[in-house]
Amino acid sequence: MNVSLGFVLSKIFTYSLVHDMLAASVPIVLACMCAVISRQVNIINIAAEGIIMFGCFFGVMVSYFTGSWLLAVLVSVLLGVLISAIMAVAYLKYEVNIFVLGLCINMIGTACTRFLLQVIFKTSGNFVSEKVVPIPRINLPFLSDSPVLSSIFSGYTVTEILVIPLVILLWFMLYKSVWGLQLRSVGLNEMASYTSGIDVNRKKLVALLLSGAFAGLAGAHLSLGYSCMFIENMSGGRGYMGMAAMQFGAANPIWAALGCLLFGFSNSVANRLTPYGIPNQFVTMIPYVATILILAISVISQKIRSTRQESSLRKS
Amino acid sequence: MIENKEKRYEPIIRICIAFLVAFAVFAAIIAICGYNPLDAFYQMFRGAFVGKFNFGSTIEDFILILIVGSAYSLTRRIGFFNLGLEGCLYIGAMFSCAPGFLLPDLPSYIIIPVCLISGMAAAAIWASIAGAMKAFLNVNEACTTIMLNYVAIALTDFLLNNPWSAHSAAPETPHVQASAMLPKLPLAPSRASTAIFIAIAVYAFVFFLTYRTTFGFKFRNVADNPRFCEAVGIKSKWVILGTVILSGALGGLAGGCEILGVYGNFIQNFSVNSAFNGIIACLLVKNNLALLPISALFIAFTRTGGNGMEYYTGVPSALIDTVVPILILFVAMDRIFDYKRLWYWLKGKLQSRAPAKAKGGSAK
Repeated sequence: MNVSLGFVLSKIFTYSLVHDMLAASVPIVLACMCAVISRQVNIINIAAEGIIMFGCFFGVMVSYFTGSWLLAVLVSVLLGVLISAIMAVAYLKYEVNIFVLGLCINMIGTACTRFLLQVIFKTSGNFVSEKVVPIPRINLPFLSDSPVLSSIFSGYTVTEILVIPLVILLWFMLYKSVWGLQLRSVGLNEMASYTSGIDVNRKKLVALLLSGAFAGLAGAHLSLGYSCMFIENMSGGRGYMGMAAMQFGAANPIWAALGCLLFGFSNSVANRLTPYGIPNQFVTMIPYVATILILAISVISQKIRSTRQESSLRKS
Repeated sequence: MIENKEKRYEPIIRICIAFLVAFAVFAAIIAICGYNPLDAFYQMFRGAFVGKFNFGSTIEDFILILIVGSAYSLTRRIGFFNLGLEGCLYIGAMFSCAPGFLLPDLPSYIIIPVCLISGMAAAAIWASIAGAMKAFLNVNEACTTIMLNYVAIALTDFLLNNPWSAHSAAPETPHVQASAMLPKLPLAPSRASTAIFIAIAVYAFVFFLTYRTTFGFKFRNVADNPRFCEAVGIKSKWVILGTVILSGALGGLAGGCEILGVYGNFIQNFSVNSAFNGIIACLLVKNNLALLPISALFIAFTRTGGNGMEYYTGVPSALIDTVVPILILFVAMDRIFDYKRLWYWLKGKLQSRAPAKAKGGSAK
């Protein structure tokens, strides 16, 4: 048993796991940034799942008909912005509950893409075509001598490489710029920021639009970068995973992105465990359970800290 | 000119307009795709109500939607957005199924309650995690419930693959003993069972609890004004926890009814988002309990009718799955259909177009 377990582990934890983990994390990171921005203005945006589905489908469709991946990504991003704009009107003007809104967008995303797939491409289930142009991969030829290095550092798509500067830029904008300070102040105390002259609804609108753009990018990357096809329901809960990772990182882009790596890691390990007949469900569970535990522990520790401060004040 | 006071029938008119608009959009899309809308509607109606099998399938969906809708209505009233009913349904189904094949053969009046109660208890414990986190730690419920859904699906996946596997080709548990199955309704080829009586009882219970008991009074007020409730001695945290647990237990009961009434064993992914249909049914009538059965029947009608429509006319049933959430959005933002303002605006236009006549009229 020990020998076989060691064999299985050696098959799972190889150097190519790093590449798999990073590739599996990237769509979740993008979905997570959608949740992060809207969380900073105190909106819990669960619509990422639906926008990702739209992004996936329109990415594939535009790439199929025009043969340009750049145009496809742009259309997906713009579509995400458009859906977010509809959401923003419903949420800010007509005061619809944000969860109802998100739930509806998610359902429309799944059903509408299935419908369009049947009407436009006359197939159901999935759509694969040689005419779909994927997002190009960047290979580093000078690393090709070493399989380890080339596996870890080479062969990423443009969007995968773009994610790192995007996350850092977002962190910089949120925490080191006046714009971000105002945005966060809306989330922290709406009343105070209103009194200090910030247009609260405008900030919320901007945050929602940006989050839609990120979710659209996540969709385009999922269908054109991570794979090169469209599958019904292909987002597979990545929007929700992104939300969980946002909670994991307390809405800080960098910590949340690291949380996404945990999701990517557990996903790729679970995929590798499947052929050996080892129950992989517990590995799949790890990030969710970890997020719930982290949420609980962080709140409890905050409470303990505040009660300790209170009691020390009372003593003096 | 515009009165500020809203009359009681006004929201209903707006919701009717929302229905009509969604209906028109639906018909227009069918027409654009090159099908006959009237034919599609006819086949949809036939697919849902005409014939024993079709009607039975609608009833089968209706049972689940009514139970989940009632369960959801409880938590919606305290402002807890319970997306975790899907997880409760899985847990409840699994633990309703387990006694059915683990226990020795028992008469049905013992085994059915044992199965259902064990499922409800397991689902209640499951729901209490999210409930406690909301009530005592104030963690946002949408996040925890969604994550718990995934954990529940993974957990049931593990159970049906390893300890409780039927060792057949498909990932499923063994069948429950024959006496544990709920008797079927006389709608022979369909799988509709007498669980409909359980569903009606659950609905009546929720209705009674909400409007006729002290507990119902408490949880109707907790969402509106928790500080007031604390001041008058209602322990709002415990009320929230209790309501969420009750809702979870009913979600588990829905899963149990699905196993004992329809499938007979737990098959992997047996319910793809079916709990969400119950949530939709509740959202569609804005949590008005009196209208919930109609709304549940409507959602069940769209489910089975959509299949009939796809089979006979070729219009993809995904279209109806798209239109129903749009309809809910319309209902949720029903103020967009402000027919009164439109009416006054039209009136104003007409008057300004013929100013002399209007002035003459008012002078008299």
